[in-house]
Amino acid sequence: MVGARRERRHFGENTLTLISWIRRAATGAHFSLASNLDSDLSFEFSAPSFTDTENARHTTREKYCVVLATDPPLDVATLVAAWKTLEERTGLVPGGETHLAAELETSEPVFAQAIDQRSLVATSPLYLDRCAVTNEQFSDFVTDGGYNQQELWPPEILPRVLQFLDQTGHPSPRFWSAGKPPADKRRHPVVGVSWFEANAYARWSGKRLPTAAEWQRAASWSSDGVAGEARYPWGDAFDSQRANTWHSRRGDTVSVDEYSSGSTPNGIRQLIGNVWEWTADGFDGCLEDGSRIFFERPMAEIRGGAYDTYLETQATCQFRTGQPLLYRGPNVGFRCCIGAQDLPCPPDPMALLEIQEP
Amino acid sequence: MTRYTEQALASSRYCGDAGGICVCCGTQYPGAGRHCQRCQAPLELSQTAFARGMPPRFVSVLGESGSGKTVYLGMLMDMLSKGVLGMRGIAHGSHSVAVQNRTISALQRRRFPEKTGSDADDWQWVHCEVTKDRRKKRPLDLVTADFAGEAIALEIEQSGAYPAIRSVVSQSVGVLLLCDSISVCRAPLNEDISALKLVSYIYDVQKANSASRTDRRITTPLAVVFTKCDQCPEAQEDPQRFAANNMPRLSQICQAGFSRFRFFGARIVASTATSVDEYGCSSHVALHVEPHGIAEPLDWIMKPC
Repeated sequence: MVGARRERRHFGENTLTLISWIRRAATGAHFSLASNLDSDLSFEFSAPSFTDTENARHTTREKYCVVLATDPPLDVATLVAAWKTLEERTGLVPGGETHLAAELETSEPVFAQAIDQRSLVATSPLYLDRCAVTNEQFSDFVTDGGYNQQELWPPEILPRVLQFLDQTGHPSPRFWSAGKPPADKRRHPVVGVSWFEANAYARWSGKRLPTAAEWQRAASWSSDGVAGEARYPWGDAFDSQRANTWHSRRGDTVSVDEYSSGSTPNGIRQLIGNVWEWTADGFDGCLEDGSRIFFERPMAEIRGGAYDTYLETQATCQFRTGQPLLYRGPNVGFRCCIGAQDLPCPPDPMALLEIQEP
Repeated sequence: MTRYTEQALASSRYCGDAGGICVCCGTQYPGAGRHCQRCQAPLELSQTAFARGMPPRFVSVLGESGSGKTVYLGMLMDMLSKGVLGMRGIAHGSHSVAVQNRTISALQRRRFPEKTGSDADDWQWVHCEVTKDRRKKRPLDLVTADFAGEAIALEIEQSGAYPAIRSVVSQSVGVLLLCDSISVCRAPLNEDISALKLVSYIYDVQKANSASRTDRRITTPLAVVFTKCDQCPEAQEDPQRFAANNMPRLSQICQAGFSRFRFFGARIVASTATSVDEYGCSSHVALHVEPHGIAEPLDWIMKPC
C-alpha cells in the first residue's frame, strides 16, 4: 500500500482540515458552502488498480467517485480522501419536487396559471459538480485514453467516435489542438464536446449527467420567486453582473472561477450563463397548444444559457431547449453529478484516528 | 448629400407640418395623409429626418422572399439599441421601433415574425442615428426599410413597380444583400441566379445615379450576408469560400461590378424545429436566440464613412 502511505503523509500536513471534516462527516453534515473553491484541489489518493505512473496519478484526481464506488471498499484513508474531494468539488442538492415547464414553452410563465400547466417532478438528493467540467479536467480523460475506451461509449456510436477530433485531427474536443486545450483556457469549461463525449467523461469519472429536473432543482431549490421557483439562483431579476451572457459583453467563455456572485447558496457556480450544459434527457417536446414538433436530428436537452444567449428569458433556471446529440459547439459544456444514494456510507471517523501519525 | 434630401431639407424650411418633400423619393406630400403618394414611405419618416437637420443616409436591405430580412433587420436594430461592436443606435420615431418590436416579440415566443406583406404602405421603415464609440465624428443617420421579398422580385422584373425600392437603392451608401444559406445548399443554381439578378439590379440603379461614367465598378459597399447559418455552419465559418463554391456567378459579378464587396455569415437562432398544428399547418420554431454575425456587415459598411 505505497499509495496509502503517501496519503498518510499528505493527511499529516492537513490534520486540522481533516479533523474538522471528520467531525462534520460524523454528524452526517456533508453539506458545505463553497468556501474552499479557490484552495488547492490537487488532492491525490490511491486505489489498487492505479499504477504509480505520472499519468495514472494525474487522472485519479478526477476519479474520486470511482474510488468511492469500488467494491470491496478501499482502505479508509483513500476513502476519506475521496470523500473530501467529493465535498470540495460538488454541492449537495436536497431532494424534492420541481416544476418542469413544457419543453417548448412559448410564453412567459404567468404566475400560478403557468405553474398549474407544468408537471411536477420528484428528484432525489444528489451531489452536483460545483463547476462545469473544465478543459483541465477533460484533458485527464483524453490523456487516460478516454476516446479509446470502448466501454465508455454506446456501441452504436463507436463509428462516430472516430470523428470526434480536434482541429489537428486528434481525438479530443473540437476546438483543441494536438489533443491539448488552449493554454489560456485551462480553467474554462470544456466546449466543443457532443452529448456522447459528455456522457463518456461522466462515466469515466464515476458520475453521470444530471437529468433536466435535477439540474433545475439544483439551480432553484433554495430560492422562491413570484411564480414559484425563482428564475435565477439569486432571485427573479436578471443581473448581467452575475452571469456571463450576451449582456455581459465578454463574447466568449470565462473561467469557471468567475461570476461567483451568481452561485447557488451551496456554492454551485455558473449554472446560469457561460456555457449551456448538456443534461441526460432527450429533447422532443411539444408546444403548449398541442402542436407536434419535428427535429431534423435527435436532440438532448441543454440548460442555463451561454455567453452568447441574447434573451434574458432564455437564460433562466426554467428555460428548456435542446441541441443535436452530435453538436460540438463553442457554447455547450456540461457538469456531472452522482446520486447520494449511489454513494457508500462515509467511513467510520474513528478509523481515521489511526491515520493521524504523530 | 443626395438630390432628394437636399430638396427635402430645403423645402422643409417652408413646409412645416403642413406637408413637405418625401425624403425617400422626393415627391411633394400633400398636407394630409400619412404616406407618400408615390413610394408609400411614411410622412413621419420625412418629418423626423428633417427635424434632425442632417441628411439621412440610406442602407438597402435586400434579398429574396424568405431570406430573413425582417428578422435580420429587427435583430440588428435591437442590438444597435443595446450597443454592439462599438456602435450604438437611437431610433427616431415610433415607426423605427416597429420592426425591432415585431422581431423580438416573436422570438420571445419562439416564433419568427410574420411574413412582410407586399403592400408598400405596410412596410416598416427605420430611421436610426448610429454613433461609433471610437470615432468623434458626428453620428450617422441611417434610413432603411423592411421590403417584402415579392415586391423586390417584382421591382427587378418591372422596374418602377415599387418606386420606394428603386429610390432607396439609388441613394444607398451601402447594400446588405441577404441570401438564405439553407436554400443555397439545397438549390445552389437557383439561388445563384436569383442573387445575380438582384446584384445586377443594384448595379444598374447605382450606376444610373453615379457621377462617374468612366469607372466600370461602383464604390458603394456591398455586403452579401448568408443567413440561417445555424443550419449551414460552412457558410459562417468561411463565407468567401462558401460563395465561391456555391454561387460562382454571384462572386463573379461582385468582383466585376463592385470595388468594395464582402461575404458574411449570420445566424440569429441556435437551433430550429418545425411545428405542425392540428390542421397540419407547419411553421418554424426558434429554439433559442444566439445572434452571430449580425452587426458585422453594417460595421464594415460604416468603416469608410
